Amino acid sequence: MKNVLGREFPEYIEGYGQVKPFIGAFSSYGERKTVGARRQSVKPASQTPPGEAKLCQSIEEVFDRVGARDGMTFGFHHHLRNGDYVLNLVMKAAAERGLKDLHVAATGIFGCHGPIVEYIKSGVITQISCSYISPGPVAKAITTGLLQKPAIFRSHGGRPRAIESGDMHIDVAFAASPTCDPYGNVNGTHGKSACGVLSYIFPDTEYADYVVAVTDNLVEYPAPPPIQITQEKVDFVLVVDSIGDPAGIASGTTRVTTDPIGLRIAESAAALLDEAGYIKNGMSLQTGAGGASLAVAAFVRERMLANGVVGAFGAGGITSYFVQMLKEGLLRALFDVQCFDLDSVKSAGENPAHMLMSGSLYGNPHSRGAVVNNLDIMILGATEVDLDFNVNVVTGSDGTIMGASGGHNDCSAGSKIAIVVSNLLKGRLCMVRDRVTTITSPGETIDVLVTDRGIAINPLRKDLLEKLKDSDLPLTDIKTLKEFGENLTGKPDTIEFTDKIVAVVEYRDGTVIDVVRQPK
Amino acid sequence: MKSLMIVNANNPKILLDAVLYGADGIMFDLADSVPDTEQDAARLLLAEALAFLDYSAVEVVVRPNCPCQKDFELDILTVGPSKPCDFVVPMATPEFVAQAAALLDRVEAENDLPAGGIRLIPSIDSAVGVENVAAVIAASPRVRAVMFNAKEFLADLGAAAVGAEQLVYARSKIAVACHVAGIDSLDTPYTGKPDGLAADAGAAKALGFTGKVASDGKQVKTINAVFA
Repeated sequence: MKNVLGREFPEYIEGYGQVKPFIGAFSSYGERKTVGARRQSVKPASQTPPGEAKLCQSIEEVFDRVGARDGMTFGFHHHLRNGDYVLNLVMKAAAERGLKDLHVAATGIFGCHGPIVEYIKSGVITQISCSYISPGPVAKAITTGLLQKPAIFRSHGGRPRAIESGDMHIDVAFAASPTCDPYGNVNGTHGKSACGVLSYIFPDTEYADYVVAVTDNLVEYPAPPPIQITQEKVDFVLVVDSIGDPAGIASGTTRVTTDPIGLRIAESAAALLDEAGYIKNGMSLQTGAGGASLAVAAFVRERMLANGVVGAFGAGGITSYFVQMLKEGLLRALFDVQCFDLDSVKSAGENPAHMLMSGSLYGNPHSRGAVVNNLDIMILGATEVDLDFNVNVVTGSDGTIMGASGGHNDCSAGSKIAIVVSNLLKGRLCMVRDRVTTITSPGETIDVLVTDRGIAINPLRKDLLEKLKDSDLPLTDIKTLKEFGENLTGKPDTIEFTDKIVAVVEYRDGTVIDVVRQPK
Repeated sequence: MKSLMIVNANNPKILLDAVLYGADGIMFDLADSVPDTEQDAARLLLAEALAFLDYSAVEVVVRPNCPCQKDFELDILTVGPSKPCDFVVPMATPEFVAQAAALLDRVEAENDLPAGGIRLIPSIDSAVGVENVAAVIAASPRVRAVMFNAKEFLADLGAAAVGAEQLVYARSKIAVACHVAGIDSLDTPYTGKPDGLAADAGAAKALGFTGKVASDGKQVKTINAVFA
């Protein structure tokens, strides 16, 4: 079958199931029901024998008490980013126990998770679903078809939607817990492995059969405020030597660029926002992870200061730029779904206006209204954009998996203006293509592409074109950008793929927007 | 010209991206930054790039090897037909400027280019250059600016670089001579810590310089702001 964007795939995908094709970004709202959650209730302490306390002595005991068996789905969150030890630790123990056919439902997978490739090869792990994946050994293993079932990429809003609706059931959630008490109250901003908000694991703590808090900082009851995961959500507490290395938090794409061309792209994006009237009192802003995207925040800040503007909120993954804007009074609040550096971890622990938001509150399209719906400005990255403004953030131009949706399609759908910032030429190729390798976010939700060689506005945004028609900004159209780029780089050969589907890319509403096939 | 950004002429990516930094001029260096073994490749690459890519938004300046070396002539004869705006004359003396002008006469005649269209930017790299700056400017009507190279000038004097005060005489002499001749004066590239750039550019501006050479793209914005 083909979906409305012309992407072809079977109606039934082995290892994934029946496919619901993507039918448009705003076509699946309405009445929804959530599934019920299974809970094992806990007696008062006076009635609890010593062996039945929440505190477990070993991961083996945890596995015994949750009844670990083949075919289970384990939930993980990625707030320790490239410094996370918990996923590897749990999967190593699962492999040693002889478990097979496990589904790793992690919110993010990084280079540090390379050791699980061995378990993919040995059949311990046969399925992975995630919202983010960084280029690295696991992405490569998925691309090359090592995983028995197709990986499933869901957005940050799509994952909680899948859990709440029952599309994905988590058997056991393992919450990396920087500070925790023996009864399962978890604080993310204190302790040697503090990583800030623990937002992405929230749907798991609501809907998983078992919730295990894995900590390297066990404190006396009650854990210090702010407590993020409360005791009534947690079945077991496991103490380990270390849950991760916080130095890995500010890894990869979360550094602000120092490249002058990246800064100029960011500067033109800020200028466009200003001219189009988006930098005004009550504004809200989110930037994606990616050097040039983050730099836009810095330039927007300058313009807010110059124009005396006070914004309502900053959202998403929070960086020190946003923390600074909150402190300066340029933003009244932050909605934080993950801390991108240690400044934001500190702020999340201290400042009540620096608020945690769960993945569902962030971007779930089937909730009673996610924060992305209140967002004015969204700044995004992309690996490729096509002539219809469809965006790829999943695969590189050689077909290799480089990333996953993250919050891309949640925010582009929710925001009033979604701007993709990028160099036009990347790795000797033009990033504007006739057809992107994989669609992550549909073009109807992308408003502007800002590059170092000019700015293209989506023709669907007639209001924006009208407003900026006399602008001095280097406005052009997307076809001209493509031709300009290809004149310099040449037209790339088409990548050849086998028929094997290695990953299914869900849109935030659970429909399939595209699939990734194994490159030849 | 407020900013003149130096880039290596032997790096294809830089040739593509150079126009994006916001510099008024780009100086493609065929001399110091190109290894001896890549001289031929850099010269041919630059000639092709200037003919093929669109540099219309910037002033294209080529820095050839020193006129004291045989590659100087080859550089000008190879790249000249691609119509750069200007050539630098390294280690400038009145004789070297005249020599460069004669080569350009030949390039322009052989390629049906307007006579006198390609201009010269003598580089003052020595004590004698500083003392003779007016004569250097007068050596050819093609001279459209002078640039200062403080590092080489101090090396020639045998003085260690300690600060802006030791450059006051040389800078003043160059800036005044350029002003009298009605041409641009471009201050020496800055190589210290990034936060010292604005002060260094400001010191040159205070002595009368009209612009500054940028040693990398990160400096362009500050230089443009100082000389605006």
